[in-house]
Amino acid sequence: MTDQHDRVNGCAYRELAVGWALHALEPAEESLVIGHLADCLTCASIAANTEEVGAMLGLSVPQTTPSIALEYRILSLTGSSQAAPTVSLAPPMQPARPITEPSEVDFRGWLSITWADVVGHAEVEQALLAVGNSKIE
Amino acid sequence: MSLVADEARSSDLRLDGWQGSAEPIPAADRVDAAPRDAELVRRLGDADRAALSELYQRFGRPCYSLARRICADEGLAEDVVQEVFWTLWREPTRFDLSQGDFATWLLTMTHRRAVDAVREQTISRRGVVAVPEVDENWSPTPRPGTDAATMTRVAAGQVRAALDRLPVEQRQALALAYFGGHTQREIAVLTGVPLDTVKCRTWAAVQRLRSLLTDQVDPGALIAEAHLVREVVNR
Repeated sequence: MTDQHDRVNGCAYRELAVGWALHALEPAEESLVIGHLADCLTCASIAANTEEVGAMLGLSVPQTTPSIALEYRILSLTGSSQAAPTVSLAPPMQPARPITEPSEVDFRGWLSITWADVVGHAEVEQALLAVGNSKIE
Repeated sequence: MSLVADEARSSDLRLDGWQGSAEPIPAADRVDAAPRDAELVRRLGDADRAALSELYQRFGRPCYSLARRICADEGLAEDVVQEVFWTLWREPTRFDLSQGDFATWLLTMTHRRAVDAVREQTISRRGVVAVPEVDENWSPTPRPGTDAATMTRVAAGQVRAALDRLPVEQRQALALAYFGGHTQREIAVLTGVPLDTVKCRTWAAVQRLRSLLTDQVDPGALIAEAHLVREVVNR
């Protein structure tokens, strides 16, 4: 990408900056962008603006009340030593509910693409390509 | 804490702006009279548990709602929120006021942790991924038992309306990334278009959405609406 191109169209990394702010990059790209953001004010601004848009999207979802136990768990951590909390992000015992389950989804009416029974990458690609082509026309 | 007085004043101004359009919402008045977010974060540096409790009261529900939307699992979403608030408690100086407001920072951290959690549990990939339709109506549809306050979330509705105005390809790319937790490479596979096209669409979606939302939707109103819903639910 030439300097002239960058002056006309913005930094060549601008799309990566958006992807980074959305946490949608592959690890190698993410590392690349992190280093770039420290030096490029334009992309840093793009990332910040994207995060603001993301936050607004996040705030627009239907509000759901967590269990009372969650607040207790959080506050009880502060009363203990500085040891790390026993937060487990391990897979739940039961399969996650589909995102489109009717309980809280306002972003309804979307096409549903099922990942079920897909394990390997090649199978994923094949299945998704088939579904994507049929759903997004 | 690294927050200095000037930064705190800057925060006040910023938050004043955030909360300006929340005027019709009674809950916003209570929030407005309370300590600013930045002040509460500053107090975390003094191990002030009451400050953390107040921050949780303000943001716990929005953070949980976002995490649950992404994780599609209540337990996992609560773990994400617990980790987020634990990080906030343990390292409050990670919030840099010069880089943006607290709500954006906290929601961004929640989003990243939720996406990481989903990616860690490959089983969640068996869930159903939502992709927007071309002619989809994004307006929330009341359902039996739906809290009336949810339906009066004007600012949230404005965000969804703005999202609805995006070309479907852009909306799809953005939604799959933000709510689906997919990488752009995964989205390229999912939608059957080149990776560069996905990046271009996502870029365009964010720019368009930002232009639609600027001066139209006040993020503070979104927070206030979340408070209002909580108030109604707790009543």
